[in-house]
Amino acid sequence: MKTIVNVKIEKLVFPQEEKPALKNIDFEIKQGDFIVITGGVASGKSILLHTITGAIPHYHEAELTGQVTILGQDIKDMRLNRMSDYVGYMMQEPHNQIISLEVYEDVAFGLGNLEIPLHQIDQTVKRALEFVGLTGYESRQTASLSGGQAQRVVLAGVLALNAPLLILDQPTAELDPQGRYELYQRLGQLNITQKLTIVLVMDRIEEVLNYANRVFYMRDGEIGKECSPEDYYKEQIEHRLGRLNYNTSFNSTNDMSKDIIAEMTKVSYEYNNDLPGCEDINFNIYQGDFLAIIGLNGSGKSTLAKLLIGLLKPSKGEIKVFNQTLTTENLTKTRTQAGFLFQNPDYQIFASTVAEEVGFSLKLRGEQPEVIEQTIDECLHFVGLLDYKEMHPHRLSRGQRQLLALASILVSDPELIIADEPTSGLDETQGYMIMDKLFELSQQGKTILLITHDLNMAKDYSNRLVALHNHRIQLDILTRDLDQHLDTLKAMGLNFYNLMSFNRETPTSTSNTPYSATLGVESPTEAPMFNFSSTSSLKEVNDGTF
Amino acid sequence: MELSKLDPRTKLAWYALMIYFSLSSGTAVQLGLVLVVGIMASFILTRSLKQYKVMIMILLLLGLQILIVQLIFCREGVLLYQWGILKIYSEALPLAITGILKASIIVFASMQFFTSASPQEFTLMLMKFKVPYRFAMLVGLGVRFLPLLKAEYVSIIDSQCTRGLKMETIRDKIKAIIPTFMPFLYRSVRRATETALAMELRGYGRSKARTFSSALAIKHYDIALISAMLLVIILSLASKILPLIYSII
Repeated sequence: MKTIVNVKIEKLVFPQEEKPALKNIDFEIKQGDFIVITGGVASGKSILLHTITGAIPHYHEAELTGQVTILGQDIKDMRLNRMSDYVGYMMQEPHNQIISLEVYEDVAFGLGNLEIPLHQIDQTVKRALEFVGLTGYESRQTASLSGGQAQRVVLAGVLALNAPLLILDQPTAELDPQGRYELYQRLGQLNITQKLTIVLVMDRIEEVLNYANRVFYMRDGEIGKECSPEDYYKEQIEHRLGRLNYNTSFNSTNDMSKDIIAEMTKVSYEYNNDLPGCEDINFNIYQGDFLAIIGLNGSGKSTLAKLLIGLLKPSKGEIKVFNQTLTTENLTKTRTQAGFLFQNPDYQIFASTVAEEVGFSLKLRGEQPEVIEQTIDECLHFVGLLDYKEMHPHRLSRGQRQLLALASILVSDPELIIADEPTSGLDETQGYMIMDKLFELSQQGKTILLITHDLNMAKDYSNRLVALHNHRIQLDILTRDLDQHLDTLKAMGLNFYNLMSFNRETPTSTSNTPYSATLGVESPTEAPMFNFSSTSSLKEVNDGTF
Repeated sequence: MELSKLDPRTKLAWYALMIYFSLSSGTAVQLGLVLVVGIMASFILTRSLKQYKVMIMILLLLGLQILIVQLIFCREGVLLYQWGILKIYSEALPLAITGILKASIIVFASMQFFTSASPQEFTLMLMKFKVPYRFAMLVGLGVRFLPLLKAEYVSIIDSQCTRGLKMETIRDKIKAIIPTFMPFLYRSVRRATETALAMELRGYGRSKARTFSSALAIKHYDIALISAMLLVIILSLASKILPLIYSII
């Protein structure tokens, strides 16, 4: 197999930093490889991807000792806007990478930059959208796309450029299980039938291992080890199983209390554009519950949480929190008793020290400085950040910033903690770190409402599961009775059956139309997915090198 | 013919004509006529005036301010009423009316222009005026990201409100600037960095030209309309300037 990329990095150092961000890296990427890169916090995964794409050193300044070549060319000598001939790069947040107002325009963006004639752009865009399952979305406004759809639009835009190497940085961070499954299935197809070389950063054990052929584990800026997906899976699952037994044993003893903390009666909410948020919601939250609300993206989970904390007012129905109907007058009091942990901690971090950030709520309430100081210390100690008290919050890792956000709601000693996707964007270790803290709070008698599409975490930590589908509650069960409802949940796209499966099925056996058929090519391995024979730059790559 | 089918350059010429009339017309009757013609043009071409609802509210506020300023400070004409230091002269009302009409025409014409031309049309028009596409496309980017930034700012406010931040009075809102604006700034910088990188890696700016999915093709009626409007402006200017030149000679 032909070598696509050759990476030899002795060290890579960012300005004003002594410690190298990457070091002693030496590997080759062959055509048709499907490499998964994984590793802990700040291990250098994304930096390595940036280095392969040329974003470092062309876009982010850094001193690179060593050489990275793509198809024999040193990336140092290549202009960033010429890299699209060689590499397609998809980053984490899809909405940041969508440039145009309409789906068609966005997929055509890169092709337009290559000065490809309009009729060819038209054909390519249609094929790319067909491949990602978005035919008919051409004139849709990009602002109205869900996270999963936006992800597919970005993928279509990147694939349309027909680069031989596709790089993805945590592409499923914002996707629900179904969206994740579909994305990996598509990538597997591309890899097998088109021999598209793929490098992907994965933050937790995912189905992508079914399609990969190599796994790199990064640690402290180095590739700690390279192994097969099977070996990596076995090793990780053993580690996770130990954790599961530990937690479920606690969980089964967590019975429901009869004291109601919050109740929603016939609650509906409609957004301004007539889109439904929640419909006819009836449910109670009991004292001491560790309640997990699950559902696909857009099923109404976050709307429900915002209604509970009074950020949205219901169009119909009544919400009572701590035996009081939510009104503008009692909102401030309710919010001292209920804390809300948002998905993204960066939405609230503004202070220049960790301590100042945590003490914000107390300062707003006019507490005495001594009380503030003591509470800050207690809360920081609880989340394990006491040593970072005087540090700038943005110097902490993403997982630590989420713990900081948790500490800053704990200072109010809330009875009820609502956590909206608190582990999104975190790797597995950091995710469990947050969940363990929430569980500890639950053991102390706090009531926890967890909103998640991570079915593993929902199953492992909660005592009660509420499943939302199409903005309505479809199921409200005790977690210990989960086995009796697996089929119902699967029908909603919440498949608990295969949470731990690892079977290396070939993507061609899946029900989706293989794109060889979509493209009308007889031998997919011989024909490129999108053919721009009239484009000189691409012709050079396609004809000269492949 | 629909408004959207007109070339953006025609719309620009119309915009220029409206602004020219608002600045050059002196009497309330002339200005009123210009405003009515402008509104009629919008109504005939779009069959709706709904998009100007917000504008009317803004204009009412602006109009009230102009009226108050003229009533207090205008010293032309005959003194009609005096109460303490407050003196109202006869010219205050006509001046206020012409001021309001001028402001209305400018605001209305701007709204008409900016709501009728799509960001893509703006980009293509700027490119016809030889603006490099790297800059011309920024208009579309702005329109794409403003709603996202707004949604993000709302999420930040929500996040801080759940921590006890009050946003009820103006004083509260001023105090809330730092805790809401700092995270917003951080997020915006991060977003801009990622967007710019994504654009570069998809070949943005690799050559001087690029293919757009639509092109501006000026039609015969556009040329006729632009010529007519330019002629009106030139004739009107000539009629004002020529007598001055003759008087000097």
